[in-house]
Amino acid sequence: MKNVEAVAAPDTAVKVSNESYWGLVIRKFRKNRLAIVSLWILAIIVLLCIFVPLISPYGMEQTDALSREQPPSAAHWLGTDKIGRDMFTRLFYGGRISLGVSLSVTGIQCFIGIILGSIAGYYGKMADTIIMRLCEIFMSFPFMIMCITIVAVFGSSVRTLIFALAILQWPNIARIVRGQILVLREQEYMEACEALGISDFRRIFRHLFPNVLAYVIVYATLGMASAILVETSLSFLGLGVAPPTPTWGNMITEAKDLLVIKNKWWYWIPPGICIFLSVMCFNILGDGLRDAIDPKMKR
Amino acid sequence: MAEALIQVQHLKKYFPIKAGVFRKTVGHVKAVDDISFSIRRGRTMGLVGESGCGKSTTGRVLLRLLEATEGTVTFDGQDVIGANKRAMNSLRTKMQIIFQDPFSSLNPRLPVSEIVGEAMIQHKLVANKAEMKDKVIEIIGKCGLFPEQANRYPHQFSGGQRQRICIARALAVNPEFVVCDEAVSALDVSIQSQIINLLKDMQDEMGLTYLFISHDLSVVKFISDDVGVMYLGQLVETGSKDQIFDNPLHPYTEALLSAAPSFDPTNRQNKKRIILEGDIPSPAKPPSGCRFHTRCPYAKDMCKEIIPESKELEPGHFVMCHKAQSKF
Amino acid sequence: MHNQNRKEEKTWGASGAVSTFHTTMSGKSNKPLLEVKNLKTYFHSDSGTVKAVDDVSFFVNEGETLGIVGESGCGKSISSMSILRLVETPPGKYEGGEILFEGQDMLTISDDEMRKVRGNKISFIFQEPMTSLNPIFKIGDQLSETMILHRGMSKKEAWEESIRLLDLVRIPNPERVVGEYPFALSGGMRQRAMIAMSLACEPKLLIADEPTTALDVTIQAQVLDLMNDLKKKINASIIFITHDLGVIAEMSDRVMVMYAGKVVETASVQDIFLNPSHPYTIGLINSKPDMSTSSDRLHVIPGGVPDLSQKPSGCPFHPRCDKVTDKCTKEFPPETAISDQHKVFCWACQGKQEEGSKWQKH
Repeated sequence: MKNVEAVAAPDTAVKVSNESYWGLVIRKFRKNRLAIVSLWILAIIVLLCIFVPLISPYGMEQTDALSREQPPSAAHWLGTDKIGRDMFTRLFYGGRISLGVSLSVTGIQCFIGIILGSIAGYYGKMADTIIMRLCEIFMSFPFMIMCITIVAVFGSSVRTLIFALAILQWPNIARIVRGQILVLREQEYMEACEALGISDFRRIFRHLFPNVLAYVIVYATLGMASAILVETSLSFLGLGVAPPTPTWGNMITEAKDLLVIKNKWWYWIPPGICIFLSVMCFNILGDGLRDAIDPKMKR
Repeated sequence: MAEALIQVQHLKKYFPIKAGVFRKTVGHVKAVDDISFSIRRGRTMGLVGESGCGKSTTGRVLLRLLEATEGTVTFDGQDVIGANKRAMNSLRTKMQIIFQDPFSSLNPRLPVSEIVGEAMIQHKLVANKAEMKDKVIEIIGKCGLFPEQANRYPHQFSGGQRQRICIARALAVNPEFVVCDEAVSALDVSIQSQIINLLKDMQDEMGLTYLFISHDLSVVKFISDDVGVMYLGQLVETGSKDQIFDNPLHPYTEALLSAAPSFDPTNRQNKKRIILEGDIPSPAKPPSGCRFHTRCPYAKDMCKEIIPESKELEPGHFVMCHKAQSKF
Repeated sequence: MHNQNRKEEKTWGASGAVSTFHTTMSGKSNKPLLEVKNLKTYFHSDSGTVKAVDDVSFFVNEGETLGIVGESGCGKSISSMSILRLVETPPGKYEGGEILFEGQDMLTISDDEMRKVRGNKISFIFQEPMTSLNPIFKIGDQLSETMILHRGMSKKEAWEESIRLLDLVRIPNPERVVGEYPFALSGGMRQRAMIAMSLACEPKLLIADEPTTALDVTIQAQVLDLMNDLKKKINASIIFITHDLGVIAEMSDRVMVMYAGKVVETASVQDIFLNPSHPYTIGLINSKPDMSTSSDRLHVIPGGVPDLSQKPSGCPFHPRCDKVTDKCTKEFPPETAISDQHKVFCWACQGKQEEGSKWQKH
């Protein structure tokens, strides 16, 4: 007879589907049209970068001495540069480097950030103090000057660039992870875990980590955007990837000349649009993910 | 009289107050300051008091979710405070807790079956996942949920149902003792009564012993066999439910009982209410002598200076008050 | 005659209360100060329309305290916030009805006129005093502000008046407290300061939304005692919103019970507690353990509080009701007048007349 009280009435608060947490996030994310559009734009850019050898008949370094500095045409969709290389081909080969660098930088900085942030947040005390002071030290370096120094010491290459950016930016993620873990540790379900005698391993990987991961994904997405911008700026300053390897930043550098800007728009507008679109889309995507994951974080 | 399942003696929990660049300890919040009580097997002890009186801290220290500063806690004759990791791990299945907030006490990323069942696997109470699933369905059924709800996630439940999940999680490991920390305070009145009945049913069925922490006197009166009243980290009065509610001896208990709004609108004119003066002092700087003297209508000079002892004035009825001990 | 008297005493418990009650009621003017007619406040969102306040009508007489009681999501706060148009729009929207205060419809007056009413003729006391007091201004500044604005006082006069008000709400050392910042005060003191603030312009109507819920029992007793005392002094009408039936019994003259955006029963405080008619009111009263009785099990209303975006059809209480009939699932019941003051919305109560008061406790 007991508990009839709970069962007797149909439960209005329960929806029928067994939707998991991630299912719910995806459903909410889908409702955000702007974010979905951004996702599609990014997908197209990425696909073009991947399949550019199949789409374009030209090689990255292939020169065509007969058609130099040509505006866009049927043969060269985005025209050619001053030694006759196809701009369309270079644009998306460049995209590979630009996006690849950003992805690696974000990946590495998340890796370092998550590990150090988790240790600081979960174990606290000395570990926390040491790691947080380390973060502060890294964050007090003047960013550009450090980049210049690292590139000057190790020579400019894709690898150096990734290393320089990741080493300077991991504290951001570490601080977010630590902050989240500190908040989560206070949640009553973590206390319940302790009362139930759940092992440290399960507590970290089954309870804390999935909760932190959501935030890391959001910040990683936003981090992608800033990594693209930083890579571009450094390349523009000549501190990034050394030419002739194309990147979006390098391509714009070639249009530094006022005459080029005025007369040869196909030199700088396509890479400009690519940078603009991918940065904006990553930002919108990040915001969309954040809203889907935690509506309270909306500002 | 049944044997005592939980024995608490001279329990203290001080939280350091840190200040300055070097985080030096400049003082202590005496959240729990020298309390002793025992709970008999199969009974419910209610712990009442206002915010900051240390009732929740007491519950957590008992389960070693917080480390005690001093004192002893024994569970069925077994030392809890000094238990090593292995002994504590087996004690974990015997002592459980149900929290106030049905929202923050469930991990949103996990389905109910895992929330309720993970401790069974951890403590090897079940052989495999399939057996766990069966057990989970059995226990959530007892708590008033349907088998198919085992696969759902916390956000798909209402507050009352979430509290049922919390109860199922706590009972899944077959505990003997459960701390209910304001377990029904966050719920709507009509849901509150469902959960209180559920707690009572489970007590009858599993022979549970409860420490029921609440600020709501009517709920405590309903569910408890014995009651302890806390004020600023001290247990000022303990006794059976009838002793506390019908014959309160400590002036604070008296005021607390009279402050609770009554349901009968007809007697509101003639009801004489004791309105306490002033605010609850900070537990970081508790008043000297009897901690209640700043608000006590009967306070005399001796109350400001001498800390009253807890004395048994009736069988089982302990009071910490000079006046009740007829010293003036 | 003698016999009848005795019978009444037996069922009522305290026969004296009946007469006190009637004299107090007749002592107050029965002119409604505020009249809410068919108010509809809805919230529109992606997941559908939430009818938070669904065709609600009530009135408050001059000098009277109306208690609104109900569980979470019943619409009690939204109905009171609608009176001052404090519901954020969007997502909220006033879909219909009238709110007549001193002959003016609060839903149609301009924003400028509304500002003159807010904090002046009608003031609001919120649940959490810390978030409703501005942390960067002194208590005295915040009190003075409304008096300078609405009562045209000079800064000095307003400051003096602030001290008097703090004294009125029994804050010790008002001369010192007036210069303090909110964080320096305890929860109970802050709530008193809030009450002082709400009284600053001698309002005609005071809306108190769960003013004691965040406070400890002994502090709550202080504040309730203070409010009961002030009620006699200031002669304002009060709308007192709470989920706590005990507080309602202490504070109100008349009680309105809400469920899922609807008013289900309204009656004098005596009738609500001694002669509740709606199954929800009965269930609510019985499900709370009472200090004065002891039993082994609590009465239970089955099921849960409904999600307002999926409100049950007809009478929203029907899935949890023990007197449910076919009709209940289809149509919301019309008003049934049990007595002059006692109105109930329930199919099962139709045709029910005052049968004398009795405890329905079991």
